Amino acid sequence: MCGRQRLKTGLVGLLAAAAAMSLSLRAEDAAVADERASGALQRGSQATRLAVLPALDLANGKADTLVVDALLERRLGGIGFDVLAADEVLAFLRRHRMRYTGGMTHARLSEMRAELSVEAVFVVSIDSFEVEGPPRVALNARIVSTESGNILWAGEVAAAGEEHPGVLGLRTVDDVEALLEGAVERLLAPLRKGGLITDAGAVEREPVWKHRPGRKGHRPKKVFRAPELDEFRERPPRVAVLPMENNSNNADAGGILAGLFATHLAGRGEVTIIEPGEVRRTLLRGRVIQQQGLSLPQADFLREMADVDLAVSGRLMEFQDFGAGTVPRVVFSVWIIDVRRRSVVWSGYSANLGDDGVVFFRHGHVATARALASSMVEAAVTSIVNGMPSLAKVGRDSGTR
Amino acid sequence: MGFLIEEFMGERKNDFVGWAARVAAVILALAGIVCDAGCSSRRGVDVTYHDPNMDFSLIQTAAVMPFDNLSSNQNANEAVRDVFMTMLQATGAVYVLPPGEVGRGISRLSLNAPSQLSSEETVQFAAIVGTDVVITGTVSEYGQLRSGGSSANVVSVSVKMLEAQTGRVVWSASSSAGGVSASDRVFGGGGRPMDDVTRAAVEKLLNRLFQ
Repeated sequence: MCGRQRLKTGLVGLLAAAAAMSLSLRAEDAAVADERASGALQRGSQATRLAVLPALDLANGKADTLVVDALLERRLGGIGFDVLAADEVLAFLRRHRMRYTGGMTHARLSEMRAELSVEAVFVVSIDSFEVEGPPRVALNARIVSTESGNILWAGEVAAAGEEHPGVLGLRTVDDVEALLEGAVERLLAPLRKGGLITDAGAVEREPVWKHRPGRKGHRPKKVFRAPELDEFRERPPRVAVLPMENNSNNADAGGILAGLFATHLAGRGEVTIIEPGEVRRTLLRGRVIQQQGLSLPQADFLREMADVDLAVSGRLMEFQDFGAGTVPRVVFSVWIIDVRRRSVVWSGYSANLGDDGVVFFRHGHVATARALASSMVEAAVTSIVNGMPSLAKVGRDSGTR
Repeated sequence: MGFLIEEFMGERKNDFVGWAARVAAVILALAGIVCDAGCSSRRGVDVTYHDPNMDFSLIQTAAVMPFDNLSSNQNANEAVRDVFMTMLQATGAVYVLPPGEVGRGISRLSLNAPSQLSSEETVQFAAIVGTDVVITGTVSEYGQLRSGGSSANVVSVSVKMLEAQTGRVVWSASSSAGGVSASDRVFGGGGRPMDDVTRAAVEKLLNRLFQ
């Protein structure tokens, strides 16, 4: 064989070896990921037993909650959860006369654990559900531990059929069920990758996961931030997200905005988010009615009854979703009260259009008000927590990890 | 030949002069239009009052009441009020009470017109919520202004500051921002976004407060 042929053979051999190695590494990675995922979802030899609450409809009554519930149960079972039968969950809700499924109180979580032997509860709200013109869906979900009441995971997704139209609109999605399938896939993707942290040690340590910093163009237009927010504390401040005043045309938009803040604040080492169901129970118990926001005596009540350190409150002024092909608009103000100091430590005013920062061919265009609100909240939360001492950082500094 | 050239150049020179004169006339006419347009656009009209006997450095806490709304936009007063509160707080010079606390004071006193307080109401309100001054305001314009074939956003707001101990007005100012500018008129364009205009109007107010 001449030299050139030998070289060719050698090169082909090397390429083949490299390809084989790559394939085996990928298989290994997948195996590791699967193992990590299944390991994260399992305690001992059993999969985490999960109860899926019926979805809360925040889409002005348009959502097909049965379809969403069934799809979520199927997908969560496919990931590796031991999903409780829907009938048992409904029987529990009837037994305890629970009508509100947007959150769980600590007492209900304990009861669910005792009666149904579930380790966690999947809470989901449907923020948007449009069937026609093209379809739009948005979900906001979290997993809450029945043992500690902590939020183990939170995520949200917004999808629109016209989001990625492609060339000549060939990639526009016209079927709401297909869109919903894709949205649920995206929502639960972090769980597939083993992102869920078990409850072990959750009493001392909250689960922490990665967050995006938020789009630069969706940052609050004006921000006040007190230096007290960045002070070192013995523990991450406990944050209660309160219902937001809603002056928009969308009756459920206030709940959607509050839910987004809770989701984007969860899983950060800088703060501990109190389960919204527990916050709701505290407000109802104290008959707290906010007039233009939280007053200081009401803040004192929250501190006493729920050990709240920071209360997030706000006002939503616009939540305009005009339909396909139009530009959504969202405007809101948020302020955070340090309940112990009885003073405002952060306030911000955010206003954006869906085509802000768009220059070429609708690249970066946000199609729906819900997606726009999520991006704005993400950026606002980044502004809030940047500079605050992180739980992970505290752990490293104090050598407890 | 030289004579012919001279004749030719003379004719060309006359043509050039005529052309230059025509161009100058057009430029002058355009300048006139621009000036006229500039005069009709909004430039942030200044009306400011400072009480000479008031020591503003003593102000540590302020309560911003809900603004009055004279515009056609339903949420204009709250939008401008929120921007004003955040920007005032962001200056670091004054602590602004949270809106819920203001709401508590309004509720306690059962105030029907919180944006138009009497001296007695101001004193009582300030005592309840614990503030040094009470700020009221009115949004008189908030929306699109059309002028000829152009349109742009405009915000007009006036604000008053009342002292807690006596209920007297110690500062008042009004400002407006946005509107159809000269460049909008000549070159077209939709003007600045409403939020930019709102912040500009509030910034002018705050500049007058701290000058």
